[in-house]
Amino acid sequence: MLNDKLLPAWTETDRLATLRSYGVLDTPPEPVFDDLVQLAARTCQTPVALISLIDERRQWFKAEMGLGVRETSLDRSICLSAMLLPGLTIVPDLTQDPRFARNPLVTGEPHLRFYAGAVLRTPDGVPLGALCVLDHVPRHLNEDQADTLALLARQVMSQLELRRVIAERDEKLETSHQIEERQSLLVRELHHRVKNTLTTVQALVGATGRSTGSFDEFYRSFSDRITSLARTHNLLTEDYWQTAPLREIALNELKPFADSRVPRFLLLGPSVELSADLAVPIGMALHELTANAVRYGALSNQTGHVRVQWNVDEVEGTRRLHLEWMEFGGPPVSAPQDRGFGSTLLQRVVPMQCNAEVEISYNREGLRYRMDVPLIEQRLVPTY
Amino acid sequence: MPIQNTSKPLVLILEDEALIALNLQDELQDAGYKVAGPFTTCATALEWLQTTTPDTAILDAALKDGPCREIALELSRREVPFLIYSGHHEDRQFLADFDHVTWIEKPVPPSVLVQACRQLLVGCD
Repeated sequence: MLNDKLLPAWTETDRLATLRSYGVLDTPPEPVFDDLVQLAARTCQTPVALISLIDERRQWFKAEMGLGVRETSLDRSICLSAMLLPGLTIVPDLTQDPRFARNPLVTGEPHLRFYAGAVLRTPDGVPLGALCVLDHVPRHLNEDQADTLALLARQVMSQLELRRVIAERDEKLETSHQIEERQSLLVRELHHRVKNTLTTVQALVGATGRSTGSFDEFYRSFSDRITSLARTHNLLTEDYWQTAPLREIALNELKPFADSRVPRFLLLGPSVELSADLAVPIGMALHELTANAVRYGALSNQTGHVRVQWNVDEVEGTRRLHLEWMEFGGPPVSAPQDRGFGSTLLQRVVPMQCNAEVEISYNREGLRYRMDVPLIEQRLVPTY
Repeated sequence: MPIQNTSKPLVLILEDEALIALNLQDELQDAGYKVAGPFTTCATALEWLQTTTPDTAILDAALKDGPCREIALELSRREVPFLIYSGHHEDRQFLADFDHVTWIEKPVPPSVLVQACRQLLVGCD
């Protein structure tokens, strides 16, 4: 039993964690450690030498000569006792030592009689095991041999330290490699998105031009559409996963009505993240719906309100978003005379771009627009 | 169908950006062409090609279901002139064997595409 003076500064849990941090357990034999046990055996003139690491339920040998096994259970471990004592532990005759006399390796094959072990201690003083030499006959070590064994134990520890530093460096390299990879992925994606956006903007110029009568009207509609597009892109780039929350997209459009004394809009639905492929067209659809409501619909007077309601369900493994835009309390609604850009976007662009089913109803009491969209789950950024 | 429509050249549009496709469709129709599509996937365009042959085509290089390779091959087989409207430089990697056709890099005004179609059609007269 250890007395108070010898109580270690570490717990067994810490010790095991430290041992694991070296990443050495169950690795194949390596010449550098094999050489060190050979040197130990040669110096001490013993047939057996081991680098023994004390794991939770076993002692495992990083290097071994003369024993023929790579691990034994802890009840057979002499190194376990040696590890808990300071410095070098020498047992001239194991059969004469009450701690080891009944050890199966002593009483039976391979009939070990002599043990000398030097603790393998980390720079922080945590013992991991021992470098030991064993013999089948009782004997002693001279001072030189004892010193050399202790010196070799420090060499083993240096090698283990080196190993850990290299492992840590490799891990850091791997992390920085992953960061680089993510970065180049994002740069590529950004490049695509810029090109796509420019192309979209160009199409917007054409479509807006086709549906507006004056330059002022063109300028206002076009600027509003660009602003809306920019806000959706903000949401996408702010997010690690490059997705945008549906609620935020809707809020971007309806925010000017948030401070009204009477509530002008209601957003009802679970949290849904939209990938760029969906966020952009759905954002544009919500923009056109809002612009239309402000001009002709429920947001054109002081009393009307808009309800945006959505849910997600799963049909045959595909999650589908059902979104409904409903207007109440606006002026009486009639179907528009000619098709402007808004209705083109809602009725042609959204179905085509999002593979969605849409329905628009010019109910007298308020416009309704419904879309049913298969969600795109594919995420751009890999999970690290 | 009005008789004059039959003389309008038929342009196939393969483009998965709906806004671009519809804008292009409008421009072509304004310029006196008939439009097949717009198709957003190679699969739907191929299906349409089973029964009809257009006079010319505008193909987006990369669709959601892959590059426009099969459509380009089928059009070449039928000696239909077409152009590739490509979003990104690297699209050329997947379509290296179509270097000889007209490539137009996005974005250009739709009028440029309409003009390019006109040239393709003149070329085959």
